[in-house]
Amino acid sequence: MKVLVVEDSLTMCKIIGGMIATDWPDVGVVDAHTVDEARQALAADDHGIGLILLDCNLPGASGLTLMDHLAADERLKEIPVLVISADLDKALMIRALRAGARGYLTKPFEKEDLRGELARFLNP
Amino acid sequence: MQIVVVTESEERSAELLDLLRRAHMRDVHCARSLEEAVSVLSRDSIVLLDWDGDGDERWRDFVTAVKEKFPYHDHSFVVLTSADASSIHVHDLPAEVEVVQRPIDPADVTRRLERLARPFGDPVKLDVNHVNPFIRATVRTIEALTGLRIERKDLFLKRDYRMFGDISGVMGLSGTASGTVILSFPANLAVRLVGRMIKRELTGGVDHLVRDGVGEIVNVISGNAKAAFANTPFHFNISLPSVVSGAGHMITHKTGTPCIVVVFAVDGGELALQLCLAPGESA
Repeated sequence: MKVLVVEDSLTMCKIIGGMIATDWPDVGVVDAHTVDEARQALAADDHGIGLILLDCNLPGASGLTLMDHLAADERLKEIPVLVISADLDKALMIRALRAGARGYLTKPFEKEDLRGELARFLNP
Repeated sequence: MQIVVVTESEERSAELLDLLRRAHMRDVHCARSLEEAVSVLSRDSIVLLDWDGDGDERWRDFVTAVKEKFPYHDHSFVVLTSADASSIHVHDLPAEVEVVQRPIDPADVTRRLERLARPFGDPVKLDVNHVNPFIRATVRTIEALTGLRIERKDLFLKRDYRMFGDISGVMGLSGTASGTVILSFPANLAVRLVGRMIKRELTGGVDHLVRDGVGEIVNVISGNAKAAFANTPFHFNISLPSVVSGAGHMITHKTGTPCIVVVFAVDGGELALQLCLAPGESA
């Protein structure tokens, strides 16, 4: 199984990737820094991506537009999305959850909170 | 506001002390040398420097040394000289410097000192309490991302429209309110903090990863602080952070927008949060 991390910050990708590599060494990580890169990664994937971690504040298109893309694709719409965002705006949180996000984690997150959210989807 | 008079001449020292007394400026210190001046300077001082070393530009090194000792604070300098003031260039110096050619007009010098002592922009527009969400967000963000304890050390209104640093994360704020949030670090502190974030000792100096980490820190701080201003005249939106790096780089502010600086201590170093925020028209 693989996790697609859609996050423009290299640092944050390393933090998240490092945690997954430590706690779930059999799970692969794919990084995408924009919505376009995420769409390309999903198009190239052969059902390996089982979870998406999505930052809303991305260069170019907003991360929430990816959720519209997922919802419109039969092959992708069941992949759970966990939104990770620095924006504490409740309206944004509601939009993300209404768009189908299965969770919303605010930055800076406690490592244990991220671990708990990941465990929901990565633990058998 | 501390005024530091720097002169080797007793006669000129008496002249300047009398000028300051007549201007009701009371917190005055005297120094007989540049080295002594650096040691007596407080975090917030104006230096009145009497300098007649023709061709001797040690006073410029002095200005730079003061900036290195107090990287985030505003020190201003009034240089009194017998040399041709118009031939002395100050724009490359990391501080507000005015050159006055002797003979001096006491009223002119007094006006200059009073102007240099005033905050930049109209401070009435900015409520100091508006900085509290940013202070809380900075503490929470740095502690959560690095595991290090961070403490607020100082808070003041900026007098200089410029900010200097080695690496700065800059976030533009737009919408009902507008302004900027800048987080500035010395290079070695930024490297250590980003290394703590990714749990790896970084040895390459300020590279793309450190710049990215600084950008992410200011992004998280801005996003966290934003929620406190919802439905107020200071509500703003954030975009994407930018990062400016390069020892002693300078960032300027929008004309007239007051700026508050908060200096924090962490891991044996200091970083500075600089907030310039102007309310929307409905305020």
